[in-house]
Amino acid sequence: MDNIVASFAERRTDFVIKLLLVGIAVFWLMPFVVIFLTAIRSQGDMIRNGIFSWPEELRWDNFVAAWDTGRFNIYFRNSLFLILVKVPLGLLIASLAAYPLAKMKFRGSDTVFILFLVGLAVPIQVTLQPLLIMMSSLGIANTLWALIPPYLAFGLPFQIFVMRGFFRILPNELIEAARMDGASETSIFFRIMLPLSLPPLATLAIIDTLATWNEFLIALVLISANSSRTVPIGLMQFQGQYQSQFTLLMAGVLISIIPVLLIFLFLQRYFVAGLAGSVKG
Amino acid sequence: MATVTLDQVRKSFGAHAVLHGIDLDVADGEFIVLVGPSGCGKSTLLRMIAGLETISDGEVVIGDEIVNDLPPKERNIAMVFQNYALYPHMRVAQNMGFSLRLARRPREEIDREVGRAARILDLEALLDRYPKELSGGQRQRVAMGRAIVRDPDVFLFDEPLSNLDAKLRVQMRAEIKALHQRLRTTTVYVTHDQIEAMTMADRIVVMRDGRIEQIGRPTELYDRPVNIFVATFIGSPAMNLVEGEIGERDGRKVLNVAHGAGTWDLPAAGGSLATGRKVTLGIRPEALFLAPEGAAATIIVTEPTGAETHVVMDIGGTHVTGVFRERIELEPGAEVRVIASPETYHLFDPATGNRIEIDAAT
Repeated sequence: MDNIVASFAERRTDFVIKLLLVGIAVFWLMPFVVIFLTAIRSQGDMIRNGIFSWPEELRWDNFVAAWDTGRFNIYFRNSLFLILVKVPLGLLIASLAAYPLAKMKFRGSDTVFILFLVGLAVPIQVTLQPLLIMMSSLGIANTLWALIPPYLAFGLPFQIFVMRGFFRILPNELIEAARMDGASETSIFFRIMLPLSLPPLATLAIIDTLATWNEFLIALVLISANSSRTVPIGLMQFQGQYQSQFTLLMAGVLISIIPVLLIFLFLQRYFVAGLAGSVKG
Repeated sequence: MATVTLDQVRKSFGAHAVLHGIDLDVADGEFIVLVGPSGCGKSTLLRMIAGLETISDGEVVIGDEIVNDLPPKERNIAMVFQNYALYPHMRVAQNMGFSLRLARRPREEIDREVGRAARILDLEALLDRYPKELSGGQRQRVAMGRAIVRDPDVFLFDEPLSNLDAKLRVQMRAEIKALHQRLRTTTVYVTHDQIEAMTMADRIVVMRDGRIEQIGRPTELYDRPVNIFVATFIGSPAMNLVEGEIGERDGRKVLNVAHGAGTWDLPAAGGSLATGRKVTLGIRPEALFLAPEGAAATIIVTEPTGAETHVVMDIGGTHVTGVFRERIELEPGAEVRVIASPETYHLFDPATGNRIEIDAAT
């Protein structure tokens, strides 16, 4: 009897919790639903019926229109280029900086580490004008190359922080065993330490890809030429001073989510492991 | 194959000296065990031979080359670590062949060498596994395999069996010994476990506080420990230490044991010891036997192990352990009399802890 009562109470609790979770999920998905509904209707339909209603007519060609009028082929290429260059390069530099900070004893290593961390506290906004001047005098303002140094610099502190923490928990004996096996310091890093760091690297790659793909402020200030614009800057075109093409904007937003989604799906098994910080010995 | 010679090797970390001038000659093909309590410097010494620690002073010679300034990879040595230190992202075969791959040996040669090592260690079925898919004993064998593949001049083992359970430890002990007998590679093996030392070593080096206390064959250390430290470190259960004083009875020198609990005969040569001299008497638990003329003892605990019985008793206020072949079924508190043959005594100077050589004593 007790058991039945208990199991009934348990089932009820279970049900309530699930209901609550579904509620939260719906709430969470609402913006996405609105984006989706707006992206597949006409502007007039949206104004007449409001953003929560079902479209009168499905307008899939919004995506094509957004792609063409927004010149997404250029922006996509630019943003992909930034990700493909910046993310691996940043992670490589961060790992190369974090490894000695974690595993080698040298005078001032803690100071160096703290100096890196100070970078976390620098607000991007105060660096914008100096950056613009710097890139202009380097002659690369208005090109994609102007974005890479600041993106790297703002990404490194956190990446070094994470990678140093991870390298510290890798056993020293692995390094010593490799040294006994005849590995040079470079081989130890590239053939032992880096392959073992896939989980945190994947996590950082996802975070960094997302941040780079979505970065708006620096790109807005440093880039004005149409040929060098990135996706977030491109999306801005749908919003004019007197008129905003919400339907195309939302279609563009959906298109711009796709690469990030793909990368997340591809790396997510490492992502979870990286967050848990697990190392199988 | 090579000899290893340590000449006045010292190590300090800052102002803190951990090794105070170690001299040691390891013969070609010899199995040497460094043993001592934790913190005695044995692992540091091994790591200095390996090249993983710098040498503060003195010389380390492998073969006939001074290797002080050579990096590990130029010393042609292989090391097995306590936690195995297998590369988690490589399969067993890759782990074992890593050193050869680094040396850019041809693929066929690597496969051949890995195959040879795998056959020796019975690892052939596991070559495609990852370390995490192996048991502790298998991982240990892979770690040894990685060492053998390179055909090194010297094997170094740093407490390789500490992470294994008791049964596996006994089995691996025998495997390592068999491996050494087969390959005859000079081996330096570090452990804190004196049984490992006794069972495996050609010679044992007992260390304490950065100094060598005694070097000798296992039976030598057991039979003639140079001081109380070695005497109590080697042997299990540990040697008993009882206060004693040289006395005289009927014109012969005798030993008054534990404040008058008994009077035992001295060996024939004991006559040279001065009457009234205080000594510390060391007796192995297995040298004790029950006899009516022995010292009075009160049973505290009896521990039957099956083959033998361990008895802890009180002799004149000192706890003494005896190991008896016979079954002893006595209640705690029972009175017995125990004695040991004079030739099994170890006499030590209570002040210095050093062995008193009875034949030479004055």
